Amino acid sequence: MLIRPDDEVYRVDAVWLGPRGLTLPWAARYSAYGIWVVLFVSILLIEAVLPMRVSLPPVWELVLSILATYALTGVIDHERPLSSALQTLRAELTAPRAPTEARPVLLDAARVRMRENHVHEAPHRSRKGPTGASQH
Amino acid sequence: MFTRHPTEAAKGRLALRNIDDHLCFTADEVWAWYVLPTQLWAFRSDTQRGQLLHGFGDGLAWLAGHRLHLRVTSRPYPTGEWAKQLHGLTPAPLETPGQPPWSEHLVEMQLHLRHQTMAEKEVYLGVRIKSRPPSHRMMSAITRRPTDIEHARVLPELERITETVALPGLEGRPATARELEWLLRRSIGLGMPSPTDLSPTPDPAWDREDLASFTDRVEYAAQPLGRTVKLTSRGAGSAVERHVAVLSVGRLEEIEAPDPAHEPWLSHTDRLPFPVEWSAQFDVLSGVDARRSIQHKLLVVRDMQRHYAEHDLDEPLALDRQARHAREVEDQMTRGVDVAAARIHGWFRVAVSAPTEQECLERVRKVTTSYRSRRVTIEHPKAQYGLLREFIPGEPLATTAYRRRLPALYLAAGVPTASSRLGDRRGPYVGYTAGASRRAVMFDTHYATEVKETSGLVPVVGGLGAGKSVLLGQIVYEAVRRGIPSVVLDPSGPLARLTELPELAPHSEHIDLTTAASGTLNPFEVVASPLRSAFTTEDAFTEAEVFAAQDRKLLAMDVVKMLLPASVDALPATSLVVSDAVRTTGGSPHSSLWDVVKHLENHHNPHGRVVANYLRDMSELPLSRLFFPSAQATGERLRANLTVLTMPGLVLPPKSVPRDHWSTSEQLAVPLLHLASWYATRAVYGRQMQARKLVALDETHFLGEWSAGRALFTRLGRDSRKWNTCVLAASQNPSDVLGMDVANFMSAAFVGRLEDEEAARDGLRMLRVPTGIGYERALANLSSARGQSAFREFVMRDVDGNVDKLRVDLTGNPGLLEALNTTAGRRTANGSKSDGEAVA
Repeated sequence: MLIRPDDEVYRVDAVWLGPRGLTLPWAARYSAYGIWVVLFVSILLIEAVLPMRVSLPPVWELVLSILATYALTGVIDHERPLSSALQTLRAELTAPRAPTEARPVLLDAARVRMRENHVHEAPHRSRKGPTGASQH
Repeated sequence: MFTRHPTEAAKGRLALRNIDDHLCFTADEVWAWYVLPTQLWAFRSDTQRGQLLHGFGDGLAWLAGHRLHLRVTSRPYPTGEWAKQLHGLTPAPLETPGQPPWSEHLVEMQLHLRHQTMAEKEVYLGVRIKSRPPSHRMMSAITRRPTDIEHARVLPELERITETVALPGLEGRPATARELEWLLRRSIGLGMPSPTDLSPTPDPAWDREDLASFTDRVEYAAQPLGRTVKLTSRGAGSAVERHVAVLSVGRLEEIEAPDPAHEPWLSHTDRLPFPVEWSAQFDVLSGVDARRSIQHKLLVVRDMQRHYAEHDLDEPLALDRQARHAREVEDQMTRGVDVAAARIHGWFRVAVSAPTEQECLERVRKVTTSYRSRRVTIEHPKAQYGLLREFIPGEPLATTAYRRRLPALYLAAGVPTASSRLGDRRGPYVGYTAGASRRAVMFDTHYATEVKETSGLVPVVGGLGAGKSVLLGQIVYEAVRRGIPSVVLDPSGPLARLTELPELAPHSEHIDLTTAASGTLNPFEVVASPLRSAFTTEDAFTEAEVFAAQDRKLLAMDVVKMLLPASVDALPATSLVVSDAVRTTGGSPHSSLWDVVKHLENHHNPHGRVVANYLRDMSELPLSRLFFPSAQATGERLRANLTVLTMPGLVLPPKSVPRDHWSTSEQLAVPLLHLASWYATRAVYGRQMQARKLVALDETHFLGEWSAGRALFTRLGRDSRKWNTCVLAASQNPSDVLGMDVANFMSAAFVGRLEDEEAARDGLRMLRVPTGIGYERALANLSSARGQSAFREFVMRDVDGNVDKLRVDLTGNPGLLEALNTTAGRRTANGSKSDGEAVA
């Protein structure tokens, strides 16, 4: 009995070739367009939050978002969808790290003050004499 | 996990909240955990394997709608319990002054077993029952544990799932709290030495506060974008450090199921020399859901095809293939039965661990390459810490990457429960299984006769160099150390070295039959007379005496005929005169072959005279004095704890040469071997009936050709149970053993390398393994790597009927290994090991 996994069916490359009658010189997945829009808008938003000037047309923003999309679509594929890339990023950020320096814990006794007896601190009781102190 | 509890995950808290018996409550889910028993896989027929696959697939299909978590872990072999049991079964071990005692030997064996990483596979299956509604969560937050109401709400669903998991395919049973504790400790301290201090309280409920005891001991540390995670365990002893890497199963190919050439894909890792853990979380989709999802994909494919057509472009070939596949799957789902339609969407993770990072990565490489040959891609993703946590029961998925969409049958064909069970688990250790997994094999020589009440006849079959002597030596050595009196007939003689081992030497005797007293192998004397004490009634005793007399006559007749040249033996008159002469002796134990010769001469039959003359000629040969006594033979020996009988210089005729062309010495060898075999069995009847005894015979393939030899086997098979004897019979040819009509008497069997197809088929028949489906090749490939460190491999059928490949392991006992590995006269310059070629 031959058994085939179904993965193949789910590996469909849904690309957008361009509007009818016009074939774009590149073939990008639908998701890439989505990612680009999100990145583009978020760059604009960041620029809006920070007091930065947006020129028209926003050439730098366009180039940046296209490059970022290109980089991001490079790490995502059918095996690793966009959500998994974000999960990986999150997991990497929150993973426990080894302590950078192995510092032994030393109990610090510097703030503990000692004195031989409390008699010197209280001169007005000194008339009781050393015999009174020695009774302690 | 971060999608649900980002804050808690960051703090490293477990998702688990409570464990009530086999129910696990996480913050918002209820899981039930089951233990799946391991299934035999090796050397079973395709029908049996197919049934197992379909059963497993069916079980999964019935669980449609649930998320499942499959965990494969291991438990070390319970060496302590085993040693205790074995010690109990050894009331009078052999003690040699000045040598390590038996208890010391047991300790050594335990240490050896512990270092062999021979673990028992354990398979757990978690089933997500349902999500916990907010009201229940709130109530349990107040009461600090799931309320009775919540338990009652879960119950109907739980019962249904428990019933489903218990169906023949999965045969699961609810895990006990103790088993869950084990699983948790194993999962949290992945790769750590196995926990020894399980909780001493029998309370099956674990609270959130109690759970801290699992996690407190293990610290995790991951490098940014690291390939492994470092685990440090600070238990009672010194800190233990392990590096763990989690891999994910990537692309898979179509598979043939069941495939006789390969292990199931999920059990493939059992072959690796280090332990590997599996964690698979998957959703089981019912046929309807699966169809909907595939139909959606089909629509996308169609849309893409149209889109390419709109642009007048050639569509990628993949699209067409995908469309066809999707339609096939859809058809399968519409028309097929449940088990074919059920689909799983899941994530399969493998974890390997090692004391150092470098070694861990080396193991990763081994796993990846071993799967490459199966055309399965193994990925090593980033964010290892998240993946590591997936192994812990109750933890959600760390990442959705590498999701596999498979038919439920594809998962079933991985047979995660496949494992090998071999041996009686109570006798001395002989080796480990070399098929699907590495499990210790114990073989008690008297398990068959004492517990199973069957015969103790154990054939050991294999071609030249298959390692028969090594196996015999190993079994006999352990038996002698256990104080079981043993007699070994080893014509070629390498096993005589056993008598030189310091721990056995004072209790052993090496008898060279060629220099033994004249008449030692007198055919009338070698058949033991029955002991009166062994029989309860007079009738039974008389009957036994008659049987013995018959055996003597049969043996004498066969020996006389063996001594004659083939041409004389072929004459019909020969049989008549010989049987007449033998009959005259009456089968008395005091007769000898001289009586037969005299009767032949006195018969006044010219042919009888011819035969008598031949016999007189033969009696002049040096070795003939063994069965032509010149004086009264000495009394019976074989009293030592270990007696090895050898016949150096015996030239056994090659199998391929017909009898007409045998030389005189070859012609003499056959009756000598027959008589020596009968002689060796005297050890059985000379001792008490209930006492344990062991007889090992080599070269028994010559016995099957004569009725006296077959009679010996039938007698041994019949008597071994009554006389509590284990009889090991080594032979080169399985058909000879099968031809002796002892198939019903065989308890266990060992079959070594058999290159000839026909012989291999007979070997399989002896193991009661189906023939003609590819297992013959397995026999031809056994012990194929010869040389100094080569293993001796056998296919063993144990007394309980389990069959698997066994690798004889002598590394735990270097002294014995050296004794068995070295052949007399072929010692190498350093005086230790030489190749084992001549030890056949």
